[in-house]
Amino acid sequence: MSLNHRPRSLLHGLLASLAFVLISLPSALAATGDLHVQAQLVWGTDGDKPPDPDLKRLDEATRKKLGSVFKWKNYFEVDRQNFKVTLSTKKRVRLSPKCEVEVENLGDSQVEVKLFGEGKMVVKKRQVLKAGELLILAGDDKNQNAWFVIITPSSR
Amino acid sequence: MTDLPTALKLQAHLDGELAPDDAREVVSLLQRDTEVRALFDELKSTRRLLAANEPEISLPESREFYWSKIRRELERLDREPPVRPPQAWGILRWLRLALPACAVLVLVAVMLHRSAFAPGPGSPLFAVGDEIETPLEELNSFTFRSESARMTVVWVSDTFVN
Repeated sequence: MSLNHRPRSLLHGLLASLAFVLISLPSALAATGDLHVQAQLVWGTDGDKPPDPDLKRLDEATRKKLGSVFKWKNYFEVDRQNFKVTLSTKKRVRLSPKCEVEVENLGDSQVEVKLFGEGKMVVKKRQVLKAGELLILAGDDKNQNAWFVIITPSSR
Repeated sequence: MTDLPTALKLQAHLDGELAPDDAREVVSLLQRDTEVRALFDELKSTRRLLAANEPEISLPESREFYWSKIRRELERLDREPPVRPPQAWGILRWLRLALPACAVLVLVAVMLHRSAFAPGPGSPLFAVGDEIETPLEELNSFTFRSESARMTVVWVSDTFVN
């Protein structure tokens, strides 16, 4: 190799190194680790609170959020599960005898949520789940009522 | 009109290039055909004019010396390496350095704006473009998003979850 070519080769080497760092950096940053998730099964109705003692009134903040979008007057929490999903794994929890939800941590706050009704997958959704964000999987229920599965990031 | 083979024979006859038999045939034709005769006269006068008016260029030097100058110049050009225009060479050198640098810059731009290409919760593309799948044929679903409530809702036509 001649001396004239050495600076150019050095420049090419530096550029290649810079490109390698830039390519690998986002992947390294994407590995943010565990994700703490809260899953709630909520029942929405225009009627009064049923006699079922397991039903609790929904917390005020979530109720206000739902009330700003949906028509139902009252919202009752059927069940709530807090769980941790490590990176690139999935966690399945049961919220009622018929309802299960599975959350997969895809990294970078992105999750894939699968909802199961009576063991069959009803819907699958991918979403970036950040603090303050709600992912709601919902549908009509009998007698003009509705069900809601609310997925939110939790603080452990 | 005189055809081309006859015209060529006339020209050859004028130049004295025909065999005796062919020459006799042309002479006979010239006596019989006035159109052929007219063409022959025209060729003959053209030849005479060219011969009388052809410019004669005389070299100020001997023939051998003139051609030896041409030969020496050709040999000199053969010995010299091909010369590239300096401006074009400069652009090529610049491009060799600039192209990898541009590629790296584009890569940086893509990395830095990755969030712009992958719409987040705040993006209007988010609710529309995110993957949603309803595998059961009897079910329908649709997605909507409330920015004020920071809420994405997937509504499913299913009653057996609760």
